Amino acid sequence: MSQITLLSSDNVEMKVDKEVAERSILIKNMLEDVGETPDQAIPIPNVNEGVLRKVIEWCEHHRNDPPPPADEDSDSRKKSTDIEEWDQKFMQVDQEMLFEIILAANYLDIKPLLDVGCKTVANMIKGKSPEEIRKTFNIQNDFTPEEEDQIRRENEWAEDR
Amino acid sequence: MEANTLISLPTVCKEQPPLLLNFPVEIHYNVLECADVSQYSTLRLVCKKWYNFIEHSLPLSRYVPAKIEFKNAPLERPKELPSLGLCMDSSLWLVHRGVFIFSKFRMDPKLLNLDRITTGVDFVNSPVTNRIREPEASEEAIDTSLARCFVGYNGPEPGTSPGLFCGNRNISHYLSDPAYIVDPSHPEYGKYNRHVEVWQYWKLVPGPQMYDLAAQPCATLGK
Repeated sequence: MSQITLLSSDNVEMKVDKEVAERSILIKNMLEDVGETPDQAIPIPNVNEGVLRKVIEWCEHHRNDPPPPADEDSDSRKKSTDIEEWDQKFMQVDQEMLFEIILAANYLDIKPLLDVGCKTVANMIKGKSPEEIRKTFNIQNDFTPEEEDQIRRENEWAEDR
Repeated sequence: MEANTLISLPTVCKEQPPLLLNFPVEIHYNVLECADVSQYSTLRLVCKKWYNFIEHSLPLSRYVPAKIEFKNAPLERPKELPSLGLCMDSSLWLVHRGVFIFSKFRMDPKLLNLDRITTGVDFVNSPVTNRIREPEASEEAIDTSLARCFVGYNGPEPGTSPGLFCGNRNISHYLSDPAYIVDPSHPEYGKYNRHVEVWQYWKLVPGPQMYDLAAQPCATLGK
């Protein structure tokens, strides 16, 4: 099986099966454009070694998965927070790594991994109050008290059961 | 090792720390779409960015199947009047066995079973709920006039916007515009069937009268 070499942003080379690397649509398209397996390492300038290793680990595990459908609204990409067990464990990382994986998946165009990351974030949001969500994700409250009051009033109908 | 200039991927500037709020818009969309729809009222309060995403930008096309139209809309409407926000004809309600979505993003999908639409109404007006639960329990035919408990059309009156009422309470500002009905026989329904379930066993029998807005204005119809 042919292998290619990826070069992380911190200049660490990693050999990986071509079909594994091609879980990334970005890399897949690039390899198709080049037309042959490149001898040189492919630089991944936005992904450091630690994150790239995680991404490759995910791609290795999912190497035989069917390609994601092109249709964004396809059933198989339903928006829900169901995450398969292996992926749940895979995503048990600190928040910085989680975010780096999401950004890497977005950059490398690995939609299923991006979905898993986003679902993980959505699960972290579940059951939290706005203040808890802000605290969890270090988000600044940029509403004025008046604006916040107004939105709370808009929400009242769903709360006064 | 020098990177091969022929094999290079685009570089994205990463000066900012990996804060969720700095993520590309499409990631926010993805996260918010994954989030529990019932939490959207909470998420709107987190920050302006999410508020605007939810209010204005979030692609909610998953609920698109069929738009509710006035069956007996006036043939000619004065052009200066605002367009209809949402209207509903009871015969459509019966024909489609639809789930009426008051707001595409403020209702919990788990509550979107047709038998739970009453729960949705309960958010707004519990007396209406009681009227609807009775036929549900006894499996009797549902009077089409119940449809007007869900939706009434306020207006048109010069200088006012169409209103949407549940009971006597104007809920227009809680509604997405346009609103949609989910029709299980619609070819695209399959796309949405994990988000919106239709209670298949509701005993729907056409009622004796049509909800004719022109001939039979009801209490929720402001004229």
